[in-house]
Parts: sequence; structure tokens; C-alpha cells
Amino acid sequence: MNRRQLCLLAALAIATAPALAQEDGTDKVTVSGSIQSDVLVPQEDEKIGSPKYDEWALTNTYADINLRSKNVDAGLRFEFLKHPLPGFEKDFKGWGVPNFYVKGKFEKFEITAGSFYDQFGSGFIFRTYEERSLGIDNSLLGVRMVFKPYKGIQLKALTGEQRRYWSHNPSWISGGDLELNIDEWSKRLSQSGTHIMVGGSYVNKYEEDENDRIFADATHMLRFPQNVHAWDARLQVQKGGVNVLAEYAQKTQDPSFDNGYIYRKGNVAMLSASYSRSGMSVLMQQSGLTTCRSAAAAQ
Amino acid sequence: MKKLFFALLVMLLGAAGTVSAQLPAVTLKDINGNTVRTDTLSNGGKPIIIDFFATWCKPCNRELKAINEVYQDWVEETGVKLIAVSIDQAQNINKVKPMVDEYGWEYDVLLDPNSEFKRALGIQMIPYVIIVDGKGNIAYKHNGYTDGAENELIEKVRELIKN
Repeated sequence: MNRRQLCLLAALAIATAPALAQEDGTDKVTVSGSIQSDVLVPQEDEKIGSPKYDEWALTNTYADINLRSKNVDAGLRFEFLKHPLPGFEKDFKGWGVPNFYVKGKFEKFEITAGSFYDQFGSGFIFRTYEERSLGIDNSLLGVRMVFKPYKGIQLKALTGEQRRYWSHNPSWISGGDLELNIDEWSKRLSQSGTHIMVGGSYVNKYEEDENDRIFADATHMLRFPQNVHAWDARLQVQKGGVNVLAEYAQKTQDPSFDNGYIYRKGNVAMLSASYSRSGMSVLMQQSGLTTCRSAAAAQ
Repeated sequence: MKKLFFALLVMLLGAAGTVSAQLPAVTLKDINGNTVRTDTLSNGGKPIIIDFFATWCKPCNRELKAINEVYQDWVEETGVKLIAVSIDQAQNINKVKPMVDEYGWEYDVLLDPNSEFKRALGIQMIPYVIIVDGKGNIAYKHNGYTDGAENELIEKVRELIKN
């Protein structure tokens, strides 16, 4: 690039800047990002039997960049885990751009295409999140939509493939969640300071079973359900110092290596009640899951 | 093609250089059950301190307790407001209000069970404190807490109200 082109480019950059930085904020584009790098330099010590590493340094490095404007957000995250810190799973090793998204934000509607995180209710049947210190990132790559047609009503719908380290699970997850905050419609309730929330959600996992050949005994092969359904219902009432939450979730048969190929349907119920005011509080929380295991049902 | 890419990058950097960050828009609930949108948080033109904490994070609790002792003085002097955001996950979320009331904290407390607001701000570790000025721009960020660090916060707030 010659000097004349460089000058023109610099002039363009300076000219663009004020055009985008309007005070009223309608055309503002904000760029933000972060770099996080944890580095470990291993020292060999035969006396304590420390493990030997080929690398002179190990690192978990993450760099992300996000653009935000009034109606559109976009971003991506670059991860360099080729020589990761010790203590993570074997498949954790790798590098690339596993997270990227574009989000459209409008008055009553929001849509994300790409990688996203979300939670339904208390997260019993659906929760995708990132926890770098634990090496967890089970984001969904697909589409997520949120509708808020009227105050107090929120409807979410999402679908996608779940991330598993550097690839995706061979299954397709779809789900929806509806949450109603009744106090936002009822003047009587909001005036008395009472908050009532009712919500329900449904999640489906579709996975073809043609690749799994697991045998219960010499002549019987396990038949895996192609569809796993899960649903959740919740109710929360809050007034003054009292807060009560009741939630119940159920899931159909979902045998897998992690749960020992169990064919029992799963369910969980939680009841939480607390009373508190300045200086004192009482909390009671009870949740139960079915824990008895039955032998895998062969078909 | 490479030149075009480079040109776009320079334009982007040129734009970024003159714009300050504002709070991202995330919908959360406060501990009383009200729905709050984080990009509309305001304090009548005065600064806001946003403090990320969790019930299990000891340094976070120490920081909030330390600020609680001087909070009334801070509010009288500068009009600042402290909003504590809890990243406790779903089952611990019910412990937040009991803990806040037990310690007698008078802050506004928001609940962020899936760390949406925390993630949108690019925060990884708590305790994390952000100070937003009267115009909604992020003016200060700090990670971690050591005894006495809250003095740095009030110094920054005093600086912001002078301008």
C-alpha cells in the first residue's frame, strides 16, 4: 500500500468515527471484548513424582469480541486450548472459534442465530452455560427466539445442536418456555406488593440410534428411544418477606453411558419457602429426585 | 480483498475509539420479584455501583458488608446507588433474599441465575465491581477484593460527581 492510499485510509477512519458516535445513541456501535489467559509453567520434581510434560508452558486462553448496536449484536469467541492446563478431559484439547452469534433485538421480539445460552425455570430440564474454570461450555448452536407480546408474558423457543468440546452432540435439541408474571397485569396484585409467577417448559432431544450397539446379554440389544421428552412446571409467590417456589419436572426414558443405561423415567420436585426481614431469615428447601435404579430393560 | 478487510478493520477501530461502553440489555428479576432491564438502570444522573456477588463467595460478602457500614454516608455525600447482582444458580437463588435481609443490606439486589448479565459484560471471576457514571457509561471496573478497597470506589464516585 503506498503513502497516498495510507493517507486516504487514515482520513476515512477519522471521518467515520464522528459519524458513528452520535450522542443520541441511535447509530452507536459499541465494540467490547476481553482476553483471558491462564498460564502454568510446569516444574519437574522426581521426589514428589510430578508428571512430565512435553510443553514448557501450558495455557487456557480465551479471547472474545462483541459488537453492540441498537438493533443488532454480534460476537465471537476464540479459544486456544491446544496445550491446556492439567485437570481437564482429553477431548478438551483443541483450538478454534467454537462460539459465534448474531442477535436481532426489536421491541417485542428478539432472535439469535449462532451460539447461545439459556435456562428454563430453575434449569431442571434445560440449562446451557459456560464455566471456564470447570471447562464447561454446553452452548447450543442454532436459533433462539424470545417474544414479549404483552407485559408479564414471555415466550421462548429454541432449537439447535449442543456443543461438546470441539464438535457437537449427534442429537437435536428443541424446546420452549412460557413464563407469566401475573402481577404485571393485575393492578390489585401489584398494589398489594404481591408477585405471582407461573411458568412451564418443554424440551425434546432427538437422536437417531443407528450408531449405538449395546448388548444387555448375548442375544438382546438395547433399543434406544429416538425422542426424549422433558417438561417442567413452576409457581412462585412472593409478598413482603415471604417467598414460596414450587417446581416439578419430568423426563421420559433417556438411557446413556453416563447413567448406566437406565430406563426409568426421571422426575424432580422442589419446594422452597423463606421468610425474611431485616435482621433475620428462615429458609426451608426440599427437593427430591427418584434415585432407585432399575436394571436396563432389554427389548 | 485483504485491503478491503484491513480498511474495514481500521474503520471499526476508528469508530470504537470514540464510543464508551454502556450497559448491555438483559432482563433480570430483583429479589422482590420485579422485572428489571439492565440497560435502563438509572440513578437520576448520579453514578451507580454494580457489584457482582454470590452467597458462597466469601470475599464478595466481606466487600458488601464493609460497604454496608459506610453506605448511608456514601449516599448522603454523593447520591450513589449500589446494585448488587447475585449469580447464584437456581437452587441457591432462594438463599439470596434471606442472606441480604439477615445482614440488613439496603442495596437493590438483582438475580442473574444463568450469569447472563455477567457474561454480557465479559466478567469471569467475582467479586467484580463496575461503576457507571451519570450518563450510563462504564467508568471503572475492578476484580477482587482486599480489605479497604471500597475506599477506591468512593474516590472514583467522588471524581465522577465533580464532572
